[in-house]
Amino acid sequence: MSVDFDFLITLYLKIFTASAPIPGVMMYVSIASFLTPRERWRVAQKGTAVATFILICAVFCGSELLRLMGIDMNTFRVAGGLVLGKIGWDMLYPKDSASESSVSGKSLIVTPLAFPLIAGPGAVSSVIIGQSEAVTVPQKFYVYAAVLLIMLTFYIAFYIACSLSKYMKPVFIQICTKLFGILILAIGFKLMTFGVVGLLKSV
Amino acid sequence: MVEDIRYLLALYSKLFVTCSPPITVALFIGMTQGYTAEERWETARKGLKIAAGILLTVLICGNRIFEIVGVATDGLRIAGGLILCRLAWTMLHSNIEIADETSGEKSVKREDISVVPLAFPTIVGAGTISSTLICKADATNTKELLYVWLAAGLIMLTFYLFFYLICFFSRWFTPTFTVIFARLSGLLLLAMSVQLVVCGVMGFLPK
Repeated sequence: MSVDFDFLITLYLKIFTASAPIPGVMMYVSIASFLTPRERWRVAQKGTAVATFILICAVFCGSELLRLMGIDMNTFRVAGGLVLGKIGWDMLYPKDSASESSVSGKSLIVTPLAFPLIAGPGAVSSVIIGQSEAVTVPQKFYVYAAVLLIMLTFYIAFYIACSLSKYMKPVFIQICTKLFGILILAIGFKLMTFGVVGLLKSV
Repeated sequence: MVEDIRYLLALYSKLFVTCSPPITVALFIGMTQGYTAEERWETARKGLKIAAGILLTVLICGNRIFEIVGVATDGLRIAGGLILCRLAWTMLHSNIEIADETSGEKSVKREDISVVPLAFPTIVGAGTISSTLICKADATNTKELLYVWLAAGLIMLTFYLFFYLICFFSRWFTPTFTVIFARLSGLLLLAMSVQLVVCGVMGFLPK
């Protein structure tokens, strides 16, 4: 029981760092700053719902799809690591954040909010990898639980952020983004290394 | 007669599994985000013609082609993998604005995808080439050789059908859908390309 519970916690933390709720939510707040607080909360709710759907789909048929395409789990780790590393790098050295203006609130829901801000490639790959690492039936069940928990976290984080957004300082947001950037970069490299080592072993 | 049909079906299914038209058209949708249905069909037709040309060359020349050019299938695998890797990267990170749908701007300059990456390595990749060569090498008499040609022709016909259908249905794909689809399939494609490169490199390594 406790092993399974540990599995849930580790998986949750993995997805948590990969999807980075705090910078994600803050980025959303800064993107949607032109909306009224009420609208902002409404859009955030819808975005979370769409993201939940995407992640559940990924858990449900992600690894089957990989098998169909003849992709080894190790190469998927390498690819996921590359994507995560890129996200981390972009968070550390942002290119241009000013380009995200001139959009209406509704157009934010799916992109960039649900994908890739909430359920980005990082979250999707860590969910698929988590699903492939789940061996027992309760563990497979816990993958879904972890996804729902993450979405609940996002929901709460959005709620807090939307109600507190006027008090948040840009410096604080920046520091959080950089910190998570370092973490994500590290996770990306770990994934890549695991993938490469796994590939070498299978030779 | 039954034997012949069974032989042909075996060849066809072997080719079908290696080039997997459903996945190919899915990738095609991913790489043509922002296209209209007509533009998609135009690109697809051009890509199909070139792919058919490649397949024809492979069928005619057989193994000799690699001796002449001096590459191995593993080399093609790596090249194809790198091309797909770049495609996947642009699919994951491209900033095609969804908001542009209302402005109706169509003068966006796009790169021509019909040869690379559509014809090679998406429709006819290293896998298809090598399995066609194997089928050809396995054929013992003229009749069986004829069936290899027939199977290759059938595969191209299948591709044509799949592309036609997907272009037809893409009328109802919203831009948002294609962008999300491109991002998600880009992730899978990136993994696929890494797999290809790894397979190619493994092939070159001494046993």
